[in-house]
Amino acid sequence: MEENTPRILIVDDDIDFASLLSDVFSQASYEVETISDPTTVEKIVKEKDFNLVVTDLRMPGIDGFELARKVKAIKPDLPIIMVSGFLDAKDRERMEAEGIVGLYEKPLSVFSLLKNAAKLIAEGKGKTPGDKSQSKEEDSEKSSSSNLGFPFGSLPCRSDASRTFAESIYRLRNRRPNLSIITPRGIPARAVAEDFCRWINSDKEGGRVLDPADCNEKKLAQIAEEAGAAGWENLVLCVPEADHLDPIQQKALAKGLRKGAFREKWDGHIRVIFMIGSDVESLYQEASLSDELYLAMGGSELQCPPLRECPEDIEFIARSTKAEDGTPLQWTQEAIASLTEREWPGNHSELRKTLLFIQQDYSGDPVSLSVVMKALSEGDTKSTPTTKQVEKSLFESLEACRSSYLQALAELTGEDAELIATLTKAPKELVERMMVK
Amino acid sequence: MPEISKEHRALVLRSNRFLANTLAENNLVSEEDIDEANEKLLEAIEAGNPRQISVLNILIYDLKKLQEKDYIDFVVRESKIGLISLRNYRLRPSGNEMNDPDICWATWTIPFDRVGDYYLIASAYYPSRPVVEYWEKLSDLRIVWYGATIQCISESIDRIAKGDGGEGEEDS
Repeated sequence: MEENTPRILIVDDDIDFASLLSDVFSQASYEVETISDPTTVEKIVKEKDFNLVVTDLRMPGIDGFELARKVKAIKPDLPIIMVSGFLDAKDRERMEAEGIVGLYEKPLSVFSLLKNAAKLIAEGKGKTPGDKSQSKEEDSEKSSSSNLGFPFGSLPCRSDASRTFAESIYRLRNRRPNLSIITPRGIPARAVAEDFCRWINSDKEGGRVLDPADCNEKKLAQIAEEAGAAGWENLVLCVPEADHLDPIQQKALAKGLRKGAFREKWDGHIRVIFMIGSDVESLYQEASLSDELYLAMGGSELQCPPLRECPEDIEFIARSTKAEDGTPLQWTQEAIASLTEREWPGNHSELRKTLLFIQQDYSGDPVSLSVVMKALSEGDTKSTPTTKQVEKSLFESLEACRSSYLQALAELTGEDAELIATLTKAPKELVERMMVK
Repeated sequence: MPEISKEHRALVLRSNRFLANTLAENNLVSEEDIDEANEKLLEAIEAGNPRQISVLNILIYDLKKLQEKDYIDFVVRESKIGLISLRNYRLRPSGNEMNDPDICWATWTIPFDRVGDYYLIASAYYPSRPVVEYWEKLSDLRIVWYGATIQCISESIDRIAKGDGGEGEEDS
């Protein structure tokens, strides 16, 4: 075998089937290694570089999903295909979350399996940490705190829950279907959206965060035109707080997502990452989603863990908080415990607000439990810069609503600024400025 | 045409959204096909004709993006339920709200008999989880599910709506 021959690892306790798969891939000029004991997978993946793993689902010791988790923990970019005689709907649902990129049911189509394997390897998804060019590039981008192996700065990812979340969305970055990421109140949804966009920027595809004011036909057409000018085949749009868009914005967004909506400007594929405060079904039931957007949202959902499930993240954020002189705050163990054991219904926003109070009153002595309790009680009553951020967000939402209202009036009146100004009793200059926006 | 109630509209959209996603996830149709079908589905809802309000119907008969045979094969393979033709079956619905034709149209599902402690229910939408969950919640008995074609369900709902149980013998 040549040095650059793609290498495939086959994991199957059924020796006959593993041998058959091995023959199929060998004849297609791949270098193949087979193991029948799935519990040894971590050792071999650590020791050797592979471009693809093909595994059975049901095996003694660990199942295919657990195996995928172990492999991904060592080499997050290594693609995994699962082959099994017994698959149900739940297996398929778990597939995406576990980062498995192909699922084949026995008896399998050899042609389809080879085609998919070749595609995954050719796409470079088979790069492993052993691939020096990639590791060099990613090391330079690596988040300073999380050691995830890819850049992700929106969450500290010191806890299992936040790490798993980050790894899950990273694995899904190149898929085609729309995705909904559930970000409960206070989670930095916009930062997550910006991280996601950074992952998919390349020569052939681009990403951008969509603001509420962008959700109208004119702006979406302009974005599509820009994508065409950039020569992109795919465009990923991340929409923070998608459930807060007003009905007109939701309708415009859903309309803009349809294939061929901007055919005269660009004929590529648009994928949308919806950041929403709750699961799609609940939001639809409480009428926060229009029929059009609900249908457009696709079936994949990922939950960003609430802060209470990430105690190591809480401790990391607290210990990273700096005093005015730039030195990290010192903490007593009780104070840290009081933070990590709290429910934090307002998640990261609430934690940041509390830490801001502690930072402002910091004397240089280790932060005690009583200081934390005082900051928490102050947080319930005082206005802080964080509150101002919430107010700003509210202002932005109102501005977006106004913009959407003006957009509707512009369509109804044929963009007659004077008439709109008369109808809304607003200065004509403001109307004109908003219409240009 | 009668307007669809708010409750039924939500059920229609949920049933169809899940079914469409299942079809796309299993590569039976493309996302673009689903986009197109969704657009037509919303038009059909506005028009109010229950026979047209089905993403499956649209994909198979209107857009011709899906062969019904492939869909039925998929249902049998994935859901592991039997198929039934109700053309010659004497429909014996249970006489409660389970036989509301609006709900049957919204879910493309029909309860057609009761045997002992079981309802026998046929559906063209079995792979749509909200459909199964809705009927299981509605039913006071356990359910034996059958897969059926769009045509079969459509004809059977019409028969029940007309109070025509049919004279044929049971078959399966």
